[in-house]
Amino acid sequence: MVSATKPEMPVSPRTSARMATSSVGTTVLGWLAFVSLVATAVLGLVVSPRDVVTGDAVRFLYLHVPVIWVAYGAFISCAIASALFLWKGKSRADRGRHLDRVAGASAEVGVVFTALALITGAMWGRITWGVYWQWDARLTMTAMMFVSFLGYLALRRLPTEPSVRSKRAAIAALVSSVNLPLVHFSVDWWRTLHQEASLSVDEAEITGNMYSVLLFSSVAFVLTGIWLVAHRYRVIRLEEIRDDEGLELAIAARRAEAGVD
Amino acid sequence: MIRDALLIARKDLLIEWRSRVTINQVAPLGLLILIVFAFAFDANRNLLTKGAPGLVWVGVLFAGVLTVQRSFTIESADGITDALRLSSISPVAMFLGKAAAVGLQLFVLEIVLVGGAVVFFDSRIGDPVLLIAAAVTGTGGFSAIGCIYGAMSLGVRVRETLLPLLLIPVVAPILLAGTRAFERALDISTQAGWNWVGLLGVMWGVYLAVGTLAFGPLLEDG
Amino acid sequence: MDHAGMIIAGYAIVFATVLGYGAAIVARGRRLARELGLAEGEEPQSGQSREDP
Repeated sequence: MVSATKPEMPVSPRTSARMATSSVGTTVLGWLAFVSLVATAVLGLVVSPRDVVTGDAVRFLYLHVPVIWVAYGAFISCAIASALFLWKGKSRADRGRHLDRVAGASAEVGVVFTALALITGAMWGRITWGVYWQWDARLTMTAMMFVSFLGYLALRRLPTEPSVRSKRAAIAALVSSVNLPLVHFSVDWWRTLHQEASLSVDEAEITGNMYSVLLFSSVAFVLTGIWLVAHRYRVIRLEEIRDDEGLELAIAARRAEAGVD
Repeated sequence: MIRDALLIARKDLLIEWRSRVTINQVAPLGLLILIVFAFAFDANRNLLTKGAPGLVWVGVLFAGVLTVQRSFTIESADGITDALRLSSISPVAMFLGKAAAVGLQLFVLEIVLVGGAVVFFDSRIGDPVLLIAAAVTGTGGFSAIGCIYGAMSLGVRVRETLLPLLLIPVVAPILLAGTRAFERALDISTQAGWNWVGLLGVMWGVYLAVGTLAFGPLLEDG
Repeated sequence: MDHAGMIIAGYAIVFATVLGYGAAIVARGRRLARELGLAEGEEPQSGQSREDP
């Protein structure tokens, strides 16, 4: 509908050339991230030596650890943006739209990376522990974080008034964040009481080359994460503009109709 | 404020009492969950007795989601939220009142479910004081956090599916701690039980604080 | 390499997901920009990022 009426549609003053989803900065960042990801695959699969204790399973280290760091970072960014939205949003010129977009974009990237962390963690666990899953505090908390933020994203997709939706989403993000330590603590306590074997028994000893590869792949995934959040942010912004203009068009159409009658 | 909260709680409980949805539908559903578990575990009495604490809490979890949903359906159906906002009752009082009403219903439900566990699963109540303490703190926390999410899903068309998705991950620690405390109270484990009651109390406090802060903003123009 | 299947599958899943997700975002942004009539002046830059992760 929007594209059909595009020719006579005036571009609103807020829309400028900078609005498309890439800029010079993010293009450079995107290529850097892409090249470093390719390099990570080569380093992790070919260059990195086998670990003395865990053998080739250590290659999962370069995926799993950076991926979960990006996920944690994204959720922390979502929580901070949500808190700032609730605290300062009203007094800002844009009514906190910017913070809301940061929170939404971060949360989505965080969910994707948490899913990847859970998958790679399960595969890694299958090789080293013999099982896909262990009920330890960190794993359980990560799984809960994943479903909590899936719920958060569902909340953001609801067809309600944007300001109401943003506020509810921000509160949901903060409640989930407050709750995660409680999950961690209670599971930790539970497993300790049951005297389960610790997971750190045959963890790889990270030394020399492995350490550099881990560092490199962390940088690669962090760059990728930032690039993804930046682009997701811009897509959210474009969607908001489309929704606003769709509304304006609908109102204009109503007015025209009324005028004809 | 306390008086307003009591007023809200009384109003909710009265509506519940007159419609009898909780008594006639939610409580039987809880018992049904226990019976279905017996089918799932092939009526293996040992397994059921051992799992009883967890099964009771799973029953509370599902019935609790329904109770919260119900508590906020009656609000949105008649536009009561707007009416209450126009009256001078503060959101904090509303939150405390609704949480108290939901908590009381869930507590009654828990008594029914524990009774069901005694009958169907051959559970023995070894420590009634611990049992009651865990039930009170657990349902308190559950109803507090439940009401926050209930308000969050007010006026949303997909509430039936959204509320459980949002609420269940958040109440997971209550389920865990409540189950551990019940295990001790029902003489299944010999681990300390009162620690878990303490943890449930801490969670109750945290959720009450969060709800007190969040309920006002959630109700505004929502 | 022992556990080669599992390790290669793990790498494949991670990279395919990240690249696919990135491509989906870029495609969505380009489509929206076109709908809103913003992309004309931006063609070179958007075009460059087409193969981006």
